[in-house]
Amino acid sequence: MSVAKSRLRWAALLICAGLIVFLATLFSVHPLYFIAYAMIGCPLVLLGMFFYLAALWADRKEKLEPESPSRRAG
Amino acid sequence: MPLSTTALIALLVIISLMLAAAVAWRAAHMRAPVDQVLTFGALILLPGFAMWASFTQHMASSETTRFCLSCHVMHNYGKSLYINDPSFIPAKHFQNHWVPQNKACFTCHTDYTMFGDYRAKLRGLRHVYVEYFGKVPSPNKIKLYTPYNNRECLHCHAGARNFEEAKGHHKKPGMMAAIQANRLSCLNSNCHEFIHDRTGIAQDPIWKGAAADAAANGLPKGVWK
Ligand code: HEC
Ligand code: HEC
Repeated sequence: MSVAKSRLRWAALLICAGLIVFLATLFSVHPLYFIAYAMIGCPLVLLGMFFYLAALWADRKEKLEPESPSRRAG
Repeated sequence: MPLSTTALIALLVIISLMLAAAVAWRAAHMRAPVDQVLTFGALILLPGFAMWASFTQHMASSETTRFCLSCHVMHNYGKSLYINDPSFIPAKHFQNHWVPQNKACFTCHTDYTMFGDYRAKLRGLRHVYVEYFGKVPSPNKIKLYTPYNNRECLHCHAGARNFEEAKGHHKKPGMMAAIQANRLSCLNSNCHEFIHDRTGIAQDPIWKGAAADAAANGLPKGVWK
């Protein structure tokens, strides 16, 4: 997989993890669940978004300087 | 927040989750720029929206009496809402629904943690830490960081006829102005000094409707016992 695509996958996985935390804490009225939302859920989603931007960046670079398929295979 | 709003937010999070999962699943086959619109929606727009919506949900639930009373150290304050003696200000306001029952603490303490400045927010985080991992101070050590501000009482009472005309508020010249400027506390002795009774609460008489009322409000067990 290209760098861009693997970053894209990471981005999506991190965001999924964060969203699962959102879902798990949504219905609870309790400080600990709020902390989990803010300290675990949000950072995961934000990190995922960051990975997504990094994927776009890598994608742009890969298009500018295409690498030989042999080096990038797999 | 009404349950239907919460359910709607949950739906948004679920849809966002399904799309992000689809992107993860198909990442190897994604092609720019066609799929960029999809990935941008699935990885930036929707999760961003879901994050914001869950934040508003958490903010709303942190205003509730139940939230405040989920820490054990606050249980006596919950109990103080049920003191069977009308000279206790929070008790009388709560039992008569003069403050909204589901937001009682927040109505009189509008500057606590998330609703205060950034220092208040940091303190709130520390309070959660101390409740679960630290050494909880003894009840008679717990006090407000700054003296209670009349503003909290005045946002309901200012301008009300029975407040403005009350004899007790005109015992001395300039008294009303001093109250309004927060130079003379509403809680002065001989005025409205009976509040949570944090040291005497164990001996206070409790309203007999307390258990049913607390259950109806979803307050944690132990609050009224
Ligand atoms: C009717 C208004 C009112 C309501 C409702 C209310 N409080 Fe208070 N609270 C006060 C006032 C006034 C003080 C300041 C007491 C003092 O300085 O002597 C206070 C003080 C406190 C203090 C500091 C310790 C102390 O006793 O001085 C804590 C903690 C507190 N309140 C928690 C709560 C919690 C938790 C709730 C909800 C269960 C709540 N309060 C509901 C008015 C209220
Ligand atoms: C959310 C609005 C609200 C807040 C905040 C509030 N009150 Fe009240 N209070 C009321 C209402 C409503 C009544 C009943 C109508 C009336 O007597 O004015 C009342 C009544 C009273 C009474 C008369 C009680 C009686 O026996 O008739 C006193 C005294 C009083 N409040 C003091 C306070 C003090 C002190 C504070 C601040 C710690 C405070 N209130 C905060 C709404 C509020």
